[in-house]
Amino acid sequence: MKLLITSVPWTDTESPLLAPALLKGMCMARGINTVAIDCNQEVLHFIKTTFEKQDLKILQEFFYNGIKIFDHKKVRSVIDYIVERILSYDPTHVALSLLTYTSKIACEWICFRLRQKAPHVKIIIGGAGIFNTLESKQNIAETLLQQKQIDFYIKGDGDVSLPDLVLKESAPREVHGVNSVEWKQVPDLNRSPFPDYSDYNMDLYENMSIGIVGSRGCVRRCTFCDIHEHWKKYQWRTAEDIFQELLWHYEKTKVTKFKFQDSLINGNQIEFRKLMKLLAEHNKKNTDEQLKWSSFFIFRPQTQMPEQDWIDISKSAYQLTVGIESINEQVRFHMGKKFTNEDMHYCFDMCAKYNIPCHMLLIVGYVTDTEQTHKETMQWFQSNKHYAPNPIGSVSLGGTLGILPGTELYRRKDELGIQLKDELFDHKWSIEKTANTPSVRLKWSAEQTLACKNAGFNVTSMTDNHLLMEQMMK
Amino acid sequence: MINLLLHLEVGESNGVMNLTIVDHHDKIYWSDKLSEGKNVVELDVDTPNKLVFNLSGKNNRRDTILDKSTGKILKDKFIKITSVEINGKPLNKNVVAKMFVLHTESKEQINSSFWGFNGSVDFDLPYADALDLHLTNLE
Repeated sequence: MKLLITSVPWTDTESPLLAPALLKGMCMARGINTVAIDCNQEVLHFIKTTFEKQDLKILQEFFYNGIKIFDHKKVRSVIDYIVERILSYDPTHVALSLLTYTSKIACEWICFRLRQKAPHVKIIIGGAGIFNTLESKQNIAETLLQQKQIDFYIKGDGDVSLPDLVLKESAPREVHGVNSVEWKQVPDLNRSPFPDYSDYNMDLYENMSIGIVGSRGCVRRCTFCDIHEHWKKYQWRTAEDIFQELLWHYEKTKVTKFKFQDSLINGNQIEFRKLMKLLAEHNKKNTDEQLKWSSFFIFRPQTQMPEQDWIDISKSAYQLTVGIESINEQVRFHMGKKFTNEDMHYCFDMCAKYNIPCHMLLIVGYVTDTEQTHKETMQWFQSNKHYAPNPIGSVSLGGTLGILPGTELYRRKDELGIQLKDELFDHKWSIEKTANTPSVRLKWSAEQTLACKNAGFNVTSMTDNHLLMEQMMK
Repeated sequence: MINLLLHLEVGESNGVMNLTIVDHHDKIYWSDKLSEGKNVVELDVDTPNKLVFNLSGKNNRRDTILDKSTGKILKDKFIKITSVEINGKPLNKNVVAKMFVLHTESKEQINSSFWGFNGSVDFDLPYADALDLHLTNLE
């Protein structure tokens, strides 16, 4: 028996994807001969080194939304590249990890090709990408199962289910989350085997950092976010457990940068403080081998985050990604963010004082945004340009607000007057009463981007945001 | 070589239509009798290739029975392709609905997957590889 686990394109990232390494750790601990590779990154590298620059965008559009204007030979060569990489390990079982919905199209064709080339290999798919939301009954997995393109799919945490399934393949019904919409959250994240990146080609990553899971779920319930559809309960690891993992990775790989994949690193304040103390102590003793981290992070009021916390954070953080989401306090509170503008300025001032770089996330065109709040946002950039570049190293305005299934906004769409124009495209919605339409949001996005840049901030944007906005224009 | 599965719905009226499937080398892939209702035709086809579906046995005057007062068809002899699978994977239904052209005996061309006249339908399979055939038939 040999299990091959891989990520599935397309995820626009410069860092190793965590899931295959995490699952490998779990499977190896159960005695399963396992290889874990990051085909997502390998494919991005393959395309960049094989095709012309413009092909990258066309191929990405195909794999994102199935755009039909493409050179099918190039698509086929990408699929064949992946399948050949997988089969080069001569696996008996292949597990495909779909990080988001943007992995669906590649998954479909990889499964098809695998079935053709190696019909004896068992194919398992899993990850948040197989569903629109984990509550959704409609999913690509069920379709592929009916078509016999796959053997199994796993819903929810694969940590336990995947090794269970491989070991109990003849009785898949006994394994939680297999070929079923029902699943159980892993009861405890502590003392689990650490992710094993040893099969990844580390030369491919521009941002050489290792992914860490410190928690699952979120302590907030933001109206636009569907995280609670995935993990209903907030779970966290102890500071000591996380710290031991960081040391273990350093010993194995000499990598000193770590990227927490959590929704937020500081959900559990007690463990977070302990972790900061452990890292500060380590970094003080090992000045040439300091361990640094980046993560999503929530701002809190001063009463919850006194200055000493910021001093400790500064000893190891290399970037906090902060979901400010709206400059306007009322809009932010409507979202479910629980910090005032005074709290926000306190946190930015602390970050500036202790040189903690921040990546600021904003959502353009929330459901309660108006022309007035839009203007207020643009004015804020001008009035607060002293925050660029310290502590605000970069700002991301995203691809405007999408109304995702499984979110509070989706559930309350009638009450809020949200008219969804296309159930399959989350960004095509309008609120007539406030003239909040796709074209208005695109205008706000362009104007806020310009205002942000003019004030001296570095505005970053991922390709997928461009694709989203192009689709909104159609 | 690909595995082709054709899901057909067959209408009966004084019997059913005859279907033979040949390729451009005159190799006969199918000449069996169909039955009323749902039929599945499974073929292993050498590719690239062009299949020709020959349809016969229909008398339009006799086999299409209309309700004279409303003009509605009460009974008909026809073959409708409801789904096409290549190596176990169905082509998009909208593509299937548009991909066939029936050349009738009276030299008409009807772009439909519903075949209610005698004639022939070409089914072009221009690539050897099943993946190519799928990728070139996305909607």
